[in-house]
Amino acid sequence: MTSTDGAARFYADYLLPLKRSNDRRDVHYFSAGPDRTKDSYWESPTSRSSGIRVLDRDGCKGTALLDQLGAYWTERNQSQLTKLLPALEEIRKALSGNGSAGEDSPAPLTDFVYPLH
Amino acid sequence: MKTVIGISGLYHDSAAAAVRGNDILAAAQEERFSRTKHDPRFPRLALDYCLAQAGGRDAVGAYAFYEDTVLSFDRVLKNAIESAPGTETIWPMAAASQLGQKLALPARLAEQGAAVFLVDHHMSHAASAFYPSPYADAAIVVIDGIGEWASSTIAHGQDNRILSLSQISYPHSLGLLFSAFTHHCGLRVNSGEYKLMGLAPYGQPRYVQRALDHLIDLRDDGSLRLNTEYFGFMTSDKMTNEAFERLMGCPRREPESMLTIEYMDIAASCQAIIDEVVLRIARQALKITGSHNLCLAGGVALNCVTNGKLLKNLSEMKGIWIQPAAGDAGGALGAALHVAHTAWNEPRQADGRRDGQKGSLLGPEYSPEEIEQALQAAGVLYHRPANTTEHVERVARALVDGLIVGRFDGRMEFGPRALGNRSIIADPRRPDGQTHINLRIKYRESWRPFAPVVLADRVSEYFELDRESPYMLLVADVRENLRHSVDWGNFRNGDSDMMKVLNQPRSTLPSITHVDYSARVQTVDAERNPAFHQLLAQFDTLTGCPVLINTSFNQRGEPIVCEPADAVRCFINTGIDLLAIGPFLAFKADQSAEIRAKEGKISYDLD
Repeated sequence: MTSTDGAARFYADYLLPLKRSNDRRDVHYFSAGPDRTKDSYWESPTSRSSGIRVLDRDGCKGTALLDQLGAYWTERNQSQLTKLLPALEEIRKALSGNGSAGEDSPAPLTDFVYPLH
Repeated sequence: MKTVIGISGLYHDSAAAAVRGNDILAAAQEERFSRTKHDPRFPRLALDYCLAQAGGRDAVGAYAFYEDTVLSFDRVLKNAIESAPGTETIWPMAAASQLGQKLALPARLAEQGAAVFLVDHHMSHAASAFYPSPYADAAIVVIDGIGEWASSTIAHGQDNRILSLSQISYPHSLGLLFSAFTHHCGLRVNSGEYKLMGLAPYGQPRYVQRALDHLIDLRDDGSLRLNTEYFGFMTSDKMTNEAFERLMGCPRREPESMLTIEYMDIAASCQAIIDEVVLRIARQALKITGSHNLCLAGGVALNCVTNGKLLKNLSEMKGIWIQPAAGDAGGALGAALHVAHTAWNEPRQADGRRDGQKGSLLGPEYSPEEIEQALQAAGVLYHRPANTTEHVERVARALVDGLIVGRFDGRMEFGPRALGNRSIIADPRRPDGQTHINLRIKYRESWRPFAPVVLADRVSEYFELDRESPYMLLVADVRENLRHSVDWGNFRNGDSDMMKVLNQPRSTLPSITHVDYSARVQTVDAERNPAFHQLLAQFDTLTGCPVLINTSFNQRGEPIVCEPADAVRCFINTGIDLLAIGPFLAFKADQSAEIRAKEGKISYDLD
């Protein structure tokens, strides 16, 4: 199984069901369009750490960074997302193991796919 | 005192920077070394350069990455979920980029043996704008495509602290809107925005109301939301979709195809919207911070037309400073500065007058021996004038004689603009100068104007500008008494031949005057770049004109030259008449038939 297969399987097995669940519960992570009821669209800054965060050596590892993401979700009561973490860790391991996306290889993406970067 | 190394990358324009205390030691984009334009890869070569400038790895106390990779992945994943099932195709690519590359980066930095910091993307930009600025207190505005979640940010800088105050969040983004119009006009996202800005003066902004009615909900305070039904970027690798094309009434222009009046009008409309939104955001930033100074960064801050409008329209603003590397490359510098000032509490020196960017001459320089080696290796005939004065006189005389000069001297510029040290320069008074250089050197669309470089103390004689513009980030109009009228003929009624307009001398400096009489002004002073200042002064002595054309030393699709061999190659391959490289001069007319036959043999992918 390639890492791409793993990502595709994750999409089918975890991501789509969560999307359906969110739709049923009317859960949205962001707004898709204008909202006439709002006076302004300025929001409080989104940051984990007032803009800067130091990592210890272990905290730099991919596993630890996903754990940090889990903690961030937990703080925001987004527990449905934390259930994705084991599967995301599997994909991460597969990607780092097969070297298909090493830092020195040219990016496999077109350069304007903002949501992906 | 330890050095902080800043890193940006894994999206586009990766870069590295080295900072010690308040001092910027070095900064460079990876593309200059790798010779891959907008290189997104880990900036290994730029890092090596910065480490060498810093005194090696042992001198480094911390590495700073310009983004919180955890929050970026949070956005990517939530976008994939929110926009499902449309994201099925792009998700595997996103996973590879995020989980495979970005989450692996901090561990790679930790292997270097120093502390690792993650600095939020917009904080990195804000830091790049505020800390090198001359101001102790300033409102900071960051506008780009997207950071982790923020697409626009207002922050307040005071002494050595920056406080982020408010943001506009993904997917609502002025930068993405700018890119959508760029994409629709057949130009490349992340680099074509600059061309779209240059195209705008040919059109009329007749799509503005349509855009405000359907694409964007803009509030008085500059905050905005996009109507995402018209955009493709959330679910595909396209910025726009069919709904956007229907709204505009024309399909996406095929790249390199003829530009028709519709696309010129769309470009003009886009520029008008950018101008208005940035003006409102800047006004809001000054209002809520109570500051009279403004610092700008983020890719949108490279829109020097908009920056010029801010100068004209913000009467409450006293000072403006824009980071020359306002795009993602500058994030490397900002991340490093933010660690130095915030985590290590290094003091700033802000005297209200001079900035700390060092003219943005932060890249590598080469010795006469290294330069001579490159000339000899290429078989180029050259000579070395007896002294600097003779060298300057020869180059100035060549410019007066109408020669196109490739100038390579001192440290390379950091940021997308060449500011004299890696520049092609020429006499701006030549009526056909714009077309001449575009066709012989740049091999690019000839509708884009060149920038003028002018002696700082003479700028007001030629341009409607009352201050310096050392980083070519302000557009100002050519003075009215220098202008000639332009006959637009039947341009808007079927004959949209840009060359007919372009080939009319629009001022006494036709090569640097756009069709709307605007110019992207760079000022030069003796403090920031004494050698370039001396050359310009000599040209002024010979001609009475303290202005030159300044365009980047490269041909289309190629990164700006970095090392001597790059400059020699570009000299051989293009119509540059004189290569002024370090203390040496090489005239094309002196070269052998074998060398001259090599002109035009190397081409690059079009950007």
